[in-house]
Amino acid sequence: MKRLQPYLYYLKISAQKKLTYRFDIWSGLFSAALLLFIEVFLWRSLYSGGGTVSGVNLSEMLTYLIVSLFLRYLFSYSVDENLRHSIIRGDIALDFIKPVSIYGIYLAQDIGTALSGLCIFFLPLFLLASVAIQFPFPAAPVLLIPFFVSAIFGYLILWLLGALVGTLNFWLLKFGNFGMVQQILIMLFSGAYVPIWFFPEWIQRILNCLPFVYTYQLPIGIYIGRYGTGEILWGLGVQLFWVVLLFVLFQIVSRRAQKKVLVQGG
Amino acid sequence: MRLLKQFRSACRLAGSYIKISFAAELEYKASFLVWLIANPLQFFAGFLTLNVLITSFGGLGGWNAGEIAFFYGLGGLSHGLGVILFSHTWSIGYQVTEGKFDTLLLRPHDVFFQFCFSDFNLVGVTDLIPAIPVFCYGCAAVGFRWSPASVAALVFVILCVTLLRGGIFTLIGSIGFFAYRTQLIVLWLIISDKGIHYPLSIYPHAVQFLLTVVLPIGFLSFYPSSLFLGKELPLQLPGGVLLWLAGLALIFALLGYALFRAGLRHYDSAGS
Repeated sequence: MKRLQPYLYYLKISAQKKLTYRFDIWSGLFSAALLLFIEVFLWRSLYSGGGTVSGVNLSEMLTYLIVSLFLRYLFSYSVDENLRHSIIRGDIALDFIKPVSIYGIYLAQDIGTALSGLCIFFLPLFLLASVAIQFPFPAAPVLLIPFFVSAIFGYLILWLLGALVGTLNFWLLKFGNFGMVQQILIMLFSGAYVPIWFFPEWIQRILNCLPFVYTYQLPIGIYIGRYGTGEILWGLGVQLFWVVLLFVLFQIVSRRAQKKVLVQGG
Repeated sequence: MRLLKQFRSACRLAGSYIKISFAAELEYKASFLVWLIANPLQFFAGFLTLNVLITSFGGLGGWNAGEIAFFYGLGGLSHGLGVILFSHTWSIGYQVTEGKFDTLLLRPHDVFFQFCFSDFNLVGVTDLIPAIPVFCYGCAAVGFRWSPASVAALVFVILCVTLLRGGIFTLIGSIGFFAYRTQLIVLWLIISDKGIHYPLSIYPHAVQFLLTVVLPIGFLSFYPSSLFLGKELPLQLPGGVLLWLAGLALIFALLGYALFRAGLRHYDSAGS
């Protein structure tokens, strides 16, 4: 527990930082609520004919939307940006000689930001959505267990992807903020806004081989009861595979990066 | 004669500023390349998503795939031009706290003119590029009739919407002279982005009214596209779409300019 103390301190500071800029909080809440209602109007308009499309009805889709909002706050991470800025400023050399793991600090900071984001932004939005749209009940209470497990795996996949992209800045700094390409791909192919099951069959087959759908779509699909037990277990297995693969890759890349810093330091 | 001379000198100065901006941006070719990938990727991603939804549901707010391509492409064109010409208004608050206006105030030329052209945003071109093929595809899909009159109307619409966007950018950005840090521009970018994604017809009547009269989101692409495609308007606009568009563009441009001038008067540089 004592070894965790510095990381918990960073987590607390990061959570508190989010509370500092009040105007930011209000404008952030306002824009998130606005975006939520725009999406609700979109889906209501699309489902104006009633019925189910790709096996999903309007009520399930609105639940999908609200749960996706929860995940968007839970999945807020900035390890790639933090690494990039640290490399640009040259702080990274000092970070490496601290008696704690810098990646551990970034993870603690990201968890702190996610927790404060959930409290400050998601809770009021959840109350608003529950009253003005609908309460997002899961398809069955027991599904909450695989949902949370899957959400944690999803977070780890995203965080490791972010850390990998951030570490690549050691070599590709001159390419500017190339991390935004990864963010666009995640937003498009993860099902965060539009579920992948609306996409053509051949695109779905390709996407099932990539990690993106296992971040947002799998946990939300579990929540709304789209998957059977076998599919849930398979999905969790694939998530675990991606977590292990990305972790190994990240270890290799980050070790090489550390050597590069030593070379630059002379 | 004197006016013509002044105009020529302003054009020459603007040309030099643009040339310098191009040279500066192209110094960082790799970074520009990433923008050249990221911005079109985002634009096409939005278009792909819309197409996926239209294919699954058979339309969006009464608009088919070709009409949405026309609507989305037209909105993208003015967005790209707006970003190229006016995106530096987004950071007025930062420029105030950094004391950047000192240099502009000391030069013997109109500050707003210098401000508009001294930081020509080449990255904005990467926003404009993907809109061109999508708009051309939309024109082909809806069977848009190319004639001198329709081309003139199209140019007029694009210029007016770009001016409208510029006016709103300047208006919101100039709040930075007084408040220094606001997230209002981010808020506007989010809303205006959705304004060219989904047609106004997906919203309830009260929201449509709000997005026409209070926030002119409908004029960024929905109303002009409806006019070109001969679609029924959800709200009647007395005098017609073009008159409303030109009027709103002028009003917002003047309001933006007035607030910028007021902000400059309020500006007292940074530090001691």
